[in-house]
Amino acid sequence: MPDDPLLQVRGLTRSYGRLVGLERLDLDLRAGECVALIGANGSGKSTAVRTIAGLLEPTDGSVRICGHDPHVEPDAELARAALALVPDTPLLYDDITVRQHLELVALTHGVVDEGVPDRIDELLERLGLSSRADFLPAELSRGMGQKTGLACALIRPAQLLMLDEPVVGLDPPSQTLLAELLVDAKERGAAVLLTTHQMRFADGVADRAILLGEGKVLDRGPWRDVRARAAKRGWLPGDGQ
Amino acid sequence: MAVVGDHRRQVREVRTWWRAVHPSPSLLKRLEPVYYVAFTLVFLGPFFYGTASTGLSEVATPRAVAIWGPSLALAGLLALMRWGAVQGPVVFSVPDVAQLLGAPLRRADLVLSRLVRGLLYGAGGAAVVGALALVGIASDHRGIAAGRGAGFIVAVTLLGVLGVAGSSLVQGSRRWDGATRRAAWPIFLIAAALVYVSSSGTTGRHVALWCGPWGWAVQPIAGGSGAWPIAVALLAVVTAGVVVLAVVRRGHCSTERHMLRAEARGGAVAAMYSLNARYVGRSLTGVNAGPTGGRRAWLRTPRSPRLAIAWRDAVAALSTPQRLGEALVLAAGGTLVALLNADHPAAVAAGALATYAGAARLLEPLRAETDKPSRARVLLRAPMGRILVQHAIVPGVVVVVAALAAAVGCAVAGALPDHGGSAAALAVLATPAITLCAGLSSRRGGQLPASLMSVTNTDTTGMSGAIIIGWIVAWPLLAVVLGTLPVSLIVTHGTAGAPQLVALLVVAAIALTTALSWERFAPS
Repeated sequence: MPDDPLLQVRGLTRSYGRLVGLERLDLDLRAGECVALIGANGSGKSTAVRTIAGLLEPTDGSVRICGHDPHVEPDAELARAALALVPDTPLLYDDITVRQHLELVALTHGVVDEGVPDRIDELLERLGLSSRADFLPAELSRGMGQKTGLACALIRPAQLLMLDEPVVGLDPPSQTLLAELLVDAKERGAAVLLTTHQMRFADGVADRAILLGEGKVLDRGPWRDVRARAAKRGWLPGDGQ
Repeated sequence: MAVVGDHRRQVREVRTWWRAVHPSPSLLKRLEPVYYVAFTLVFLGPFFYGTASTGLSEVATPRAVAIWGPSLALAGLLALMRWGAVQGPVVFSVPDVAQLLGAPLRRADLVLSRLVRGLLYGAGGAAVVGALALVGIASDHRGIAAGRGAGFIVAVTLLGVLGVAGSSLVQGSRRWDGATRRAAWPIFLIAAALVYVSSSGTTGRHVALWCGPWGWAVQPIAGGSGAWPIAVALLAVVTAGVVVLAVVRRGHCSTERHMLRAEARGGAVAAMYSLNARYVGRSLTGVNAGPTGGRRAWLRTPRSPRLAIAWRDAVAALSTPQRLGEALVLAAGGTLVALLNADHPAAVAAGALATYAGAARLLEPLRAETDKPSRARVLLRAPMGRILVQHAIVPGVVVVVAALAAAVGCAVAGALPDHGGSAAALAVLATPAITLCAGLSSRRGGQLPASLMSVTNTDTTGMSGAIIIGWIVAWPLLAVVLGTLPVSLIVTHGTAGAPQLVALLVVAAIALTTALSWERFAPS
């Protein structure tokens, strides 16, 4: 069904021992839509993204990405095919270059047509990584490493993009570029879920927002409404106050 | 865009790409280790064989295998399975978890080669252990029938494979992990019971040899002539079943568990390069310790600032009841062993070592202090040396109480040796010095100091290894001496020297306290 959510989260809970990192999160995310998870440090944003992406096992609740559970093999394989995750710290190999990372990701996602090298060049160019294409991760700055992680996510045909604090380490022009790329992805029909402290960045991208505090959902709704209510109550972190 | 549907082909293509990026070394280069091993065996093999034969002839006897074999095999099997709780046969690197396990590749295909390699390593390692044991068993002109020898090596090899397959199941399943963790102490008790049962007579030995894979594995040495092939066949069937289960379930390990192991291995390898044993251990055990997994104990804060560290250590001990329990059991058990076998110095030494281990279990806060001395300098006022001494108070009290309880228990049961009152008093009196030895050992952290490394690097006498081993065992050795000497002397020579021995222990405790508080050698 075209109107079915790409991402469906029901009652998602994740505990670390006694600490409840995320409590009963419900979320539907449809094609062409972007939801921002906002909240202070320790509010459960990263836990939510990591649990939805399958990096953390949920304590309770369910996740469906394009109808598939990312926590149960072999169903998870289909969920992973639809998902591209940009973690807050890029997890890159020490011994292969930026370009080779993109080649590897394309290959592992079954993108093997003849146009791949051109698309890699195009993406590197757009992200300002062309001059660093043959550099190893250790030779990159934090921002460049972050962009490499982003390029790895964008080189594959993902229906759901998930970004955990994507603007950390990026300079203002790169933040603008990232916002443009995410808008492009939405227009292509991808759904975007991101966490951020930077309200101005989310202004240009997010359609809806969920405000988290101590793992609980404090507010949810259209982005501008949630932002306004949160700012009024003094709940917003970063530049949102 | 072409999306490849064939999973196995996709994994093969990724491997081909990886090999193209990282060309593997030439065949000659890869055969180099084989050459070195063969070369070493040809020239040093007879020497190794002779050393192993002489060294093991007294230890690995057919009788010892019959009595100790099943319990050692059971403990080994448990250790192998618990290895899956911290690492296991299938471990990826952190980028592998992100890039390969995060890709739509069939996990079972990615895991298979690692699992097979792990099983082969398990088989190889176990075969070497079996062969070494066989050298001891057959030495001293005892000899062994070829069939039984081969059967023993096959059985031990199967046991190794069984352990690795079990560790794969533990690695992939929270349920298996929890079950083996809960079973650890009961299994140690069963292992101890097996020793007792095996040494109790023919019937008991039959029970131990037939009660499970651990008994079947030693049957080629300890079993009857017609029975051991059946036992090995049973072991083969069970091993095959567990291997099949491990292979079938190989892709079920969650990404989170893979990531935890990958991070732990990264940390452990980094710590190994800096020869830091403590960080190797911490990295690996961190796999099972959630960020807030422990219990939190509540204890009223003391009024005197002098008791602050002791209060903090008491809270830590109460928050980890298992550790506290282990310390109590080790200290009480060690004292019991020493007093019940006071006429055997080796048993008294083993008891002292157990008491030392009990104290060491509770010295974690002291170790944490030495991990980050800057934290103590910011948070605490007292000099580092004094802080470290205060960290020895709670372990000391716990160990003394446990030893006292054991000694009183012995006295009440009428099981004290000759001159039992004095021996028991000295055994208890030795525990503070033993605790301080453990404290001094813990204070050094897990890393060999640069000064020691420079000494061994410039050593031309060939004693580097002995120097390093001496450095590692110095404090445990002193603890064993302090725990053994007074008790053994009293039992063998009477109570005439008791006052001098008491003075010795008191002076030792004072000297060790001074050493522990010595600022010059405190971590900075």
